[in-house]
Order: sequence, then structure tokens, then C-alpha cells
Amino acid sequence: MIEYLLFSLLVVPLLGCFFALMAKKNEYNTFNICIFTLLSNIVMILFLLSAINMEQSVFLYSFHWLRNIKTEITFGIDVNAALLLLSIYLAILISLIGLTHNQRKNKFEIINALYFLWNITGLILARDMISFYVFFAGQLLPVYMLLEISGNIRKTPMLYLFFIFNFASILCLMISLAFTYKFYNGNMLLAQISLADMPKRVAICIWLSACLAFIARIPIWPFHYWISSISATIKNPTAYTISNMLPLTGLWGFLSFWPLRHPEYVAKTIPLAVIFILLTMCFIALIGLAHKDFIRKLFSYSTIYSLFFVLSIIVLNEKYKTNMIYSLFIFMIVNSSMTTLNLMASEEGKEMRYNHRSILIGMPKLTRLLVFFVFIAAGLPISSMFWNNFVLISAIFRRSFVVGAWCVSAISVIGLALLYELYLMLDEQEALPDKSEIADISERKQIAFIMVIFILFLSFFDPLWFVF
Amino acid sequence: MIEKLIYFSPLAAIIIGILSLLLVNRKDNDVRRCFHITRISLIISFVFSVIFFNKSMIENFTVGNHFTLLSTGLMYIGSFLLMFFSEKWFLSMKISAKSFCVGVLIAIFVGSLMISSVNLGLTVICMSVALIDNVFLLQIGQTKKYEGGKFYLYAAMFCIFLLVFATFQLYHIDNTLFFESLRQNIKMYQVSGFTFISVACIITVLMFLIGFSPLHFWSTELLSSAILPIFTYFTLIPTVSYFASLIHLNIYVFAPMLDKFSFFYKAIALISIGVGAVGACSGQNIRKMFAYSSLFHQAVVFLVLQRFSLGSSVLSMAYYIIYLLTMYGICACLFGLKVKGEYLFMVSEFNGVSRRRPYISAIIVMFLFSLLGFPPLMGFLGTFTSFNDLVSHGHLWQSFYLCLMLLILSYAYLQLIRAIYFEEGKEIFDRADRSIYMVIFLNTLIMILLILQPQYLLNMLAGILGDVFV
Repeated sequence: MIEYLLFSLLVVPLLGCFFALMAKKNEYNTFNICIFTLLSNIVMILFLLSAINMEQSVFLYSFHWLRNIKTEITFGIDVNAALLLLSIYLAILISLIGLTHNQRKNKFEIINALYFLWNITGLILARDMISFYVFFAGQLLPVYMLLEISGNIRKTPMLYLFFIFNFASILCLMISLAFTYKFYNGNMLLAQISLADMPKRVAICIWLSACLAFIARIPIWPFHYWISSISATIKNPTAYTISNMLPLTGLWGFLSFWPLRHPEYVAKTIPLAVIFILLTMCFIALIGLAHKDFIRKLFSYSTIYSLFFVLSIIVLNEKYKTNMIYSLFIFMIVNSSMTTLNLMASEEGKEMRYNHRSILIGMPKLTRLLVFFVFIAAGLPISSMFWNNFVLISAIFRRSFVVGAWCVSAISVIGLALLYELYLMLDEQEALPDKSEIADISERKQIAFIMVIFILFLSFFDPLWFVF
Repeated sequence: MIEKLIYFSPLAAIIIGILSLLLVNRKDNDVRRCFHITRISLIISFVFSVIFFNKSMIENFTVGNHFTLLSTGLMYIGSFLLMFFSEKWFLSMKISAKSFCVGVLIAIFVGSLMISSVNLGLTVICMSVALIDNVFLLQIGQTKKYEGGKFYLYAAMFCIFLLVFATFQLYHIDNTLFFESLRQNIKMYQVSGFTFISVACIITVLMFLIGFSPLHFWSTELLSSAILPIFTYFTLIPTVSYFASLIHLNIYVFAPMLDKFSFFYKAIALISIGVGAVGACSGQNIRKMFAYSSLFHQAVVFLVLQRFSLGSSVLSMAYYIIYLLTMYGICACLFGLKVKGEYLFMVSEFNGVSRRRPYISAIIVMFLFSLLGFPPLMGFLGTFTSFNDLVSHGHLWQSFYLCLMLLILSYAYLQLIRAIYFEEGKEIFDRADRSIYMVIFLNTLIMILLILQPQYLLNMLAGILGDVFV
């Protein structure tokens, strides 16, 4: 039963993509298909979460893709993967709420979103190198298309760089894959890779190329500029949320690949990696503070948290993985909600030629929601993300005080930057007198966001409250 | 005697086809008639080729096995598609199709012989005829004074001279040109400088025919100004026979000297990969872009193939077949896009195609990403197996180089994708023929089936190429 569910989980987004392709143009059909796909998969994930054994992964099925050169493709799921998948689906569902009527009719965008959804589902379910690679690489096409449609047309050179940079990361992973083929005579399970004792040179080639592939997905210095400058121009919440999920794929790569036993040569590189990550975190936090645009601050926020999770993977051991996933679950939902609300406000402000600085004046309902999410993002103890981050940061402090201090500094700076921007958006001094003309968030959308808050509230007491 | 005549029937059908075409009056509206004759001739020839695939068409001079069947089959499939698309082109342009049909039939005739030849003399004659035929075909549809064709003619004459020189030199070793005897002779006399030069001459001419760097000028420059049917012909058909001939010659004749040519082969493949990738980014001409892109992909095939082992041949042929399938699709799409009867020529003319022709646009993008080796598209299999082969044989730097060049090539494809999807276009495209959609659909279906079960392709190739390596 579980095997069929897992298979359906993988197939439904692809079927959705197919049906969306067949749907009529300029109508809501594609949007409805997308919502249906998301909801059906959410239901399946909830069922899977309740059904699977908490300790062990459930393996769906293996089949020989290439008989000549040993290729057995394996899919599977465990609690962490299911939770992460659930957060991805919820994040995209939230972002869909914020779409305008015209955006909902954009068939091409929604097809790309569904195709991305299929790829990211496959990536999370992949349990071997080939299928991991296939879905890792497959994401670039829909993200590129979405960025081209939703981004600013003037950013073309940036988009080329973005594509080529990401393509390079894909090729890096392919080299890593070719190495595992050479030295292990075929496809390997991800779990085996993280445990394998490899000869020094082989390990360096495999880890280096894989790490380069994953780090390229996280907009790390000096490559952060391309993706941030493109993302900042996106006006579509779904496109923005999806482009913000690219770092997540890098993070999942680290989670899946990072060696559980650190041989000497890998251990030597850890301090260097940590320094690099910390510097990038602080650098991006300061950039976030300096920017006057809320969407750029949000981008900095998501990047810093992605790096924080990577740091947790590198510095901490296996037992903190669960805390990280719980934190990531809330982070995804909060990030998507903030982005959607902000883009909804910006859209309204743009229509009314309203100043960004006082954009929230006249939108009390939207403001209340946004304030709640910004407070969570800023690190206030009103969600389970705070407690899980607290556990992770204290563990990092235990490992190294300096690393912990830098990490907390970066997270605090970006939290303050978000709060400051919220203050400016509520600043009444620059507001226009005719506040009544601005349309606030609709009742239906408000109810949807209240449901999101309800999920967060329950997760505060038990991160897996929805598992029966 | 009757038996021999029956085995000769695939070639006889083509000869009859050529003779019939020569009788067609050019002044009449000859397009439909020419294509009709060519199609019938090709169908009869193909059917007989399949039925008598393991029989010698010309006793002692040719052999038939699964590999020759595969190569001939690919050539015929390409020519069926070419005939199918080109008829519409010639009808809309109102140009006589007689020369084109004769040229293609001659190419198929010499191609079939080249693929199955076991005699160097026959191979060299076929190569010479192919060179002259290419000169003839490149001039079709050219309205202006055509300097490039003249240049190709001189190059072809020089190539024929090289071939004649090399054949005489090799013949004088032991007065024979049969592959088996030549192989023995080369094994004994390979120290001779003349033998080495002769072999090098033949290989150089083959490289010229395929269009590898630094002899690529004709394939890229001449094809950039060629008419669409000619571009499609050169992309899909003759290279199959050239590659088959290259494999036959290197395995049956030049095998004792392979180690001496190994560096030369690698260098040619690597230079061609570089030139193909960089050249594809260099201009706005769509045919030039695909000509360079073809150079890149054929060079990748050659880079993997150059060890001429069973494993490398299987992987390279898999890559080649995938590349051919993709190019069938791309050529079909190019035939499906025209504005006021004019086929698209520059990248800028593709602006906004997606709004008018969403399905063709989506298919082009899919094929382009497939050529870049993106999973889950078919090209992934080719790229993956090629990388795997390079790394597993310790050619790390070659795999890094290939990565770099793929990145550069991706820039060229991105320009086209951008024009198709993200630029505003004002052009009103002519209605595409339904049959073109059907071809595209069939092609896509085959690729989907192959990506789901790629072992069929690889197992089939392993079995087929096993015949060559016996």
C-alpha cells in the first residue's frame, strides 16, 4: 500500500503537468489542476507520515534502468523526507493564494510550477545517485523558465549566468556520479555513499564535485549576486517561492551526501567550509540590512537560514537532524507566507501608486498577518522554529563558541533588518491621505492564512501533531 | 546469377530511380513527380536492404551484417523524413526538385556501398563520388554567385587526389585492396612511412567529409547559407555512412596502426568539440548554429569512439543515435515554422514563436535541453554514458573539458530558447502541416520509450556491434 502511495506521490505532479498542458488557455483550469495536485499529494503525505515506521525508511521499488552498466533506481521515504516534502507543498500552496487573477490564468507558469514540483518530489524521494541526479538536474529548466517569465526582462545577462552556473553545478554532480560508477561498479544508494570508506583521491573527487554542485544551489558568496538580483525582480509569489527552493535542494544534497564518518582528509576541510559559510552569512546579513527593499531582505533571510542549516549539517552530528527538519518545516511555511503577503501588498501598492515606505497603512488585516510571520522569522519564541533553532545553536555553541557567536550575530542582524523594514512599511509619516482606496486582503485569503497560523500554532506544541 | 541480381536489387532500385528522374522534364511542374519517383525507389531499396541484409550486394566487395543494416536503416529513415519535408519546401518555393532528388539518391547509393564495403578501392570510389555529389547538392537553390561551392569543389578535388594517392600506395604493398589482406599487410609493413601517410590521407578525407575541425569550414559555413532541405540532408544522412565507414576502416584495416593515430584522433575530437561549442555561440544564423552544434555532438561521438573497442563503439553509437533522433525532431520543427512562405533563418525570427506555435516551441526547447544532456530527456543517456566512459578510462581532463564546452554550448541554445519564449514577436506564422506534428509526435514518443527502457537500445547496439568485432 505504502509503495503504491509513494509511486502516486511521484506520478501525480507529472500527471498534473500533463493535464495542465491540455487545459484551455486564459482560464482557471490550470490553476485548479495545480491546487488539486498539491492537495492530493498533501493528503498522501499525511497518510504516509502516519503509516511509515518512524525509525526506518520505506523503500518503494527498484528497477534496472540500464542493465549493461548496473543501474538500479530506488525511491524511498522516511519521516524527515515526508516532513520536508509536506513543507514544500504547503509553501507552494500558500504562494498560490497570493496569485492575482491574471497570474492564475497563466498556463505556462503553472505548468512549470508543476514540473518543478515533480522534480523536487523526486529529489526528496530519491534514494540512489542516478535518480537524485536526474531530479536535481531536472529542476533547472522550470526554474529558469519561471525566472524568465516573472523576472525583469533587463536581467537577461544575469539569467544566462544563473543558468550556466547552475548547469555547471549539474555537471559537477555528473562527474561525482561518474566517479562512483567507476569505483563502485554501478549506481550507489545515498546511504551507502555517506558511509563508504573511499580511497583518498576518489573521495576528494566525489565529495568535492558533489559539494560544489550543492553549494552552487545555495547563493553563496561570490555567486549570491546573480540569483538575488533576479529574485528581487519577481512579482509572482509562486515563482519567487520556487526560486527560493533551489537552496533547499542544495541543502537536501548536503543532508543526503554528507559523510557520517569523517575521514582525516574530509575533517581537515571542515574548518575551511565553516569559515566560508560564516563569512557568507555575515556578509549577506549586512547586505540585507543595507537594502531598502523588503523582498531583498527576505532573500537574504532565506539564504542565511539555508546556510545556517548547512552549517548545522557540517558541524553537528546525526541526532540534531530531526531538529533541523522541524525548524526547516516552519521556516519554509513562514518564508512563503511572508513573501506572498509582501508581494500582495506590493501589488496593491503599485496599483494605487502607493509609497513602499507606508505600504501597509490601510491594510490592517494583511498587516496583522505579516507582523505575525515577521516576528516568527525574526526569531521571537512564538513558533517551534525558535525552540529547534535554539537547540541547534546551543549545540553549535557547545562545539565552538566563536562559530556559535558569528552564527547568532548573522541571524540576529537579518532578524533586525526584517523588523526594521516592517516598521518602515507601517510608518504613517509618508502615507497618502486617502487610505480607504486601498483594498485589504480578501476574506478568503485571510482565512487561508489563519489556517497557516493554526498549523504553526499546533506545531509549537508537537511538530508532528498531524501524525495519527 | 539470378541470386546475385536479387541481392543487388537495393542498389538496382536506386539506379532505376536515378534514371527515371533523369527522364523527368524539368519544364513541367516536376516536384511531385520527382519526389514520388524518389520515394518509391527508396522504399523498394529499403525493403530489399532489410530482406537481404546479410547478403553481399556485390560479391566479395561488400558484406552484410546487423551493423550494416542499422547504418543503412538510419540513412533510409533520414532520407524518408527528408523527402517528406522537402517536398513541401520545393512546392512552396517553386524550384525544380530534380537535381535534389538525383543528388540524394546518388548519396544513398554510395552511402549504402560505403557502409557494406570490404574493399578499399570501392570505399575510395564511393568517397570520391560522395565528394562530387556534395558539390552538386550544395549548389541547389543558390541564387547568388556561389563562391563557397567553388571552394568546396577545389577541396573535394584535392581530397580525391589524396584518396587516389593513398589507394595506390596501399595497393602496391601486396597488389590487393581487400580489407582483410590490407590489414595483414599493414601489420607487416606498418613501419613504412608511405603506409602511414596513405592511411593518414584516407582518414583526413573522412574527417573532411564528416566535417571535423580544422576541416569543418564547409560544413559550418556552407550549410549556414544552404537551403533548408540541403541543411537537413547534410545533418541527417551522409554522416551515418561516413561514421560507419570510419568504424569499418579502423577495425578491419587500420587496427594495427590505431595506437599511432590515437593522439591524432583525440586531438581532432577535442578541437572539434571546442570549435563546435564556441562556434555555435558566434552568430545569429540558426543553420550555422545547428551546424556547429552538430560538429560538437559528432565530435563527442568520435571522442568516445576513438578507442574502437566494443564498449566505446556501443556507447558512441548510442550517443549518435540519440543525437540523430533529436536532430530529426529539430529539423521537423524547422520545417514547421515559416512566415509568408519563408522558412526561418535567423534567431531573431524565432521571437515570440511560443505564442503562435506553442507545441512546436515546447518540442524545440525539449530537444535543445535533450542535446545538452538534461535528464529526464533522452540526451541524458548519451551524455551520461559518455561521461561515464571517459571517467572510467581515466580521461578526467577530457571530461572536465567536455563539461566546460557543454556550458559554452548551452549559451547558444539559451539564445534560441529566449527568442522563442521571452521575446516579443510580430510575425504571423503560416499554418504548420499536420503531418509535421505527426512526425514530431512519433519522434517524441520513440524518445520517451527509449528513455524509459534504454537498455533495449544499448543491448541492441551491443549485439549489432558484436558482429563487427567478431
